[in-house]
Amino acid sequence: MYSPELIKGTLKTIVLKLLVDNTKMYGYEITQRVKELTGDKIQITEGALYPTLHALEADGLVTAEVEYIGKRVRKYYSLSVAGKTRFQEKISEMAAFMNTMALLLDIKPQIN
Amino acid sequence: MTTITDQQIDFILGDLKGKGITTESLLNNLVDHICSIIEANLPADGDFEQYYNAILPSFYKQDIAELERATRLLVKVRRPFALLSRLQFIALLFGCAIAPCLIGIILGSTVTGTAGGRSLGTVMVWLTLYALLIVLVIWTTPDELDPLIPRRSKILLAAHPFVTILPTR
Repeated sequence: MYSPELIKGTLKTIVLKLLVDNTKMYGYEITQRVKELTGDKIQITEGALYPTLHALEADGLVTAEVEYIGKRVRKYYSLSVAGKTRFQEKISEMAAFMNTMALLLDIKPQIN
Repeated sequence: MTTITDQQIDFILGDLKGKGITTESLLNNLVDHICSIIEANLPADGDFEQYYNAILPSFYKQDIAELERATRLLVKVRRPFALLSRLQFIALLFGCAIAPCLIGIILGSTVTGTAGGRSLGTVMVWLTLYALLIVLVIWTTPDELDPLIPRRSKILLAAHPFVTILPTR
């Protein structure tokens, strides 16, 4: 499992990517999907996820709709148009950052 | 697998509210998240309260209210201008307070000889001393007297709110 410090700066990008691939998702579903996709190497904590989702919503990058399951209120998040644009920027930034780090740390690409 | 009852949802809601989760949207998110975990992992004959108390600490480092604080901070403080130390902030505050006074003093001195110029200069000197006094009070108030800006805190300048004091533990 990777350290929370490494994941911290990538959380918004991860959430936006999942919402690009899925029409709408709720919090627990996001954490489970990330665990599944990364083979448990990345585990998003609730303490990081929910403040981030609220910030994304406040910034207008995601929209939310609620569904009532009896007394429970489930909040589904979807990507807004602004969120799609922001995701493209984030991906470009991340790709450039990874290339720079690979150069800086002299990391050779792995062939699996 | 367990199906969460309405009484159990009320229990979780009450517990989270009592522990400092007050933002309704966050509260709903957390209740749904906890219910989802319990439903996926607790056997039908499992002890709900025991399991709830066991999983809750995985949500936080010190207390669950830190999620409330983090959410409020991230939602309210967007596009920050700068994160300052206490010393930097007080220096900035003093600079802002003293700058108009300095301008006044300079203006006053350029019209020396006139009564208006002298009195303007005097007023500005007193205003400067007053600003210095306020900054000194903020700077020297001990932590135990609940200062406006606690020592070791950070000050975030942003569009809205303009100033946020972030106490460090």
